[in-house]
Amino acid sequence: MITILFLNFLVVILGAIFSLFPVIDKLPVLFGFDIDTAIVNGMGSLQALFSTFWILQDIFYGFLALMTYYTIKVVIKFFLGSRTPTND
Amino acid sequence: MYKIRQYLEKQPLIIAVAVSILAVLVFSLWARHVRADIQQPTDSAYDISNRNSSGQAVYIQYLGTGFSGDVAGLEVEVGLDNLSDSGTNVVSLNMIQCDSAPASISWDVTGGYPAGCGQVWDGQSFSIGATYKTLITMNTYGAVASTTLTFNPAKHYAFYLRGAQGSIPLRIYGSATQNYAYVADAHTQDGAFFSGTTLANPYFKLVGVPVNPPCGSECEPPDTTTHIVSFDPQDGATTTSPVTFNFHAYINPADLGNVIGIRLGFHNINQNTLFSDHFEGIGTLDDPYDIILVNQQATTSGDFIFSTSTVALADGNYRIEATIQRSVFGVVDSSFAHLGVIQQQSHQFIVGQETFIGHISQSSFTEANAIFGSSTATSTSALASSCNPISGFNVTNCLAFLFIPDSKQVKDTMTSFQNGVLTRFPIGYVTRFVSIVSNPATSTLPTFTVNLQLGATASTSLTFDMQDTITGAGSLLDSITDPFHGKTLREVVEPFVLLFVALLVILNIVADITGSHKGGNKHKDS
Repeated sequence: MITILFLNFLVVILGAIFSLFPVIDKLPVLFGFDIDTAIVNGMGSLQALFSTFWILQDIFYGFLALMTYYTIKVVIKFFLGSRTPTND
Repeated sequence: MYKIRQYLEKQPLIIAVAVSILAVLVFSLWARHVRADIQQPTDSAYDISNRNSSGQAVYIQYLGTGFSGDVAGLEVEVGLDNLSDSGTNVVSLNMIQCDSAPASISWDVTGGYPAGCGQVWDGQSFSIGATYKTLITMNTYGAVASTTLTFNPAKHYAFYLRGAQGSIPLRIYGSATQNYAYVADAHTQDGAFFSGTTLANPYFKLVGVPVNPPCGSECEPPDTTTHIVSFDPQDGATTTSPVTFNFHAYINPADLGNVIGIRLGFHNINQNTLFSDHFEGIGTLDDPYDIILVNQQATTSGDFIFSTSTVALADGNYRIEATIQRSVFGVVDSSFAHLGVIQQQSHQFIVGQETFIGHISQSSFTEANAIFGSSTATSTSALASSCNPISGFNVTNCLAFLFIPDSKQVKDTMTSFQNGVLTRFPIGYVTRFVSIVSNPATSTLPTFTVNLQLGATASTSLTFDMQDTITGAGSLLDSITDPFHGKTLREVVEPFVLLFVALLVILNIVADITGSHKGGNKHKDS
């Protein structure tokens, strides 16, 4: 109860802060380029290809896993800055 | 910039995949085709596009696939609006099972069913009159009612209406406009059809699937202890104002001498969500928003029935609490409810639109009850009794109650976090991107058409249908099977592909962490 109380308290605080910002249900349109439509259609086409050529799907999921690693790396570097462990 | 270029030069795989994805995205924007992001539920739609030999609509509802389990009975809600109670309004609702989606097959009204379909459920005949909405029980076709039907998740199921009485044309009268509709004779027109526009809102809705109902309450001796039988609104219900409250309790005659108090109250939980539950039942700190509907002593044994007239409530989240308690120090009082409680139950319900804080409060309360409710409690007071140092103290339950949130409880909190934070600027952009990428829905690939001018006046065009090509390629790939084990090419090869991809990913990550590829470059540079 205390744990979930604490979590709920955080959520309430964050919810109150973020309630000031608008709800995002679509990606923006920049210079007439509808990013949301492009990605929706693009991913739909990829999924159509993947449904037939499953090897592409396996490679794509491997790519996503690799990108997840690099994303985590970037986030760690963002928070730790120069204290980030490196192999240089 | 130089470092970025130097880094990318070492990652040709990433560049190749990223360029491919970018190309597909740009191409897709240019192609301007639409993907259905949301699949509509099939149990609320009906189809009248099929016509019988007289050109009139046949009412069919497609349920789709995915049904499973053994079913001994089926409740189906049937509605035909704008009907009067005149005439013989007997129809029969039936269910068919098909190998493929029957929507794509022309409905053969004279032959009975589309190709690849067969009747699996024979609906009981029922009358349609002024009461246009009814529940019926369907029986397995051609067998006794107790025979169960095993749904096949891969099969397609659909409801359809047909006449229920031999060769007699059945008439369903319409509204005051004297439009009318017929249900066809089962022999000449196997299928229902209606003329005019009076049947505005027919629907065949699957409302319940009792799977092999076990021997229920009728097999058990009646509970003659003092207990709560039921109270409304039900837990988790969403209702509209005004709200009707009901309470049904049973009082054992032997308990009357102990002065039994019965209490039913509710409160709005949109405020004080963090503290009100924990102070509830401690005298003057009782929730100030409590509204007591009934708080009285039982003077007779047997059923105790209480029902209010409707109560107008504002939108929000509410919790109703029903309590049966003995007297404490000769007094029945809500302040001591947690000491003399015989039984206490809570329901949470929503009036109109729930609130953000109310949702969090309801989720937390529900999940806390889920942890301990199986043994002792369905109420906050009873939950807290595990930490009561005077009586009922249990250190394990108390510590668990205080510190260990249920996984679903955390999940609900995360859901609230997602709704309140992750969908809003700026994180909402990331959430939207992830939801698009993780959505398995497909787009129809575009078709290329090239116009060729042949001479001064003649011309022709060449069309390349990517969707058709890829579908054909997929069929070809799937048709290749191992002659010894019957496995498809995918089943044989995909494990090796996955292993290869996984090894590539792991090696790339390991090389990046250890810096082994950098060492190689240094050696080369030197």
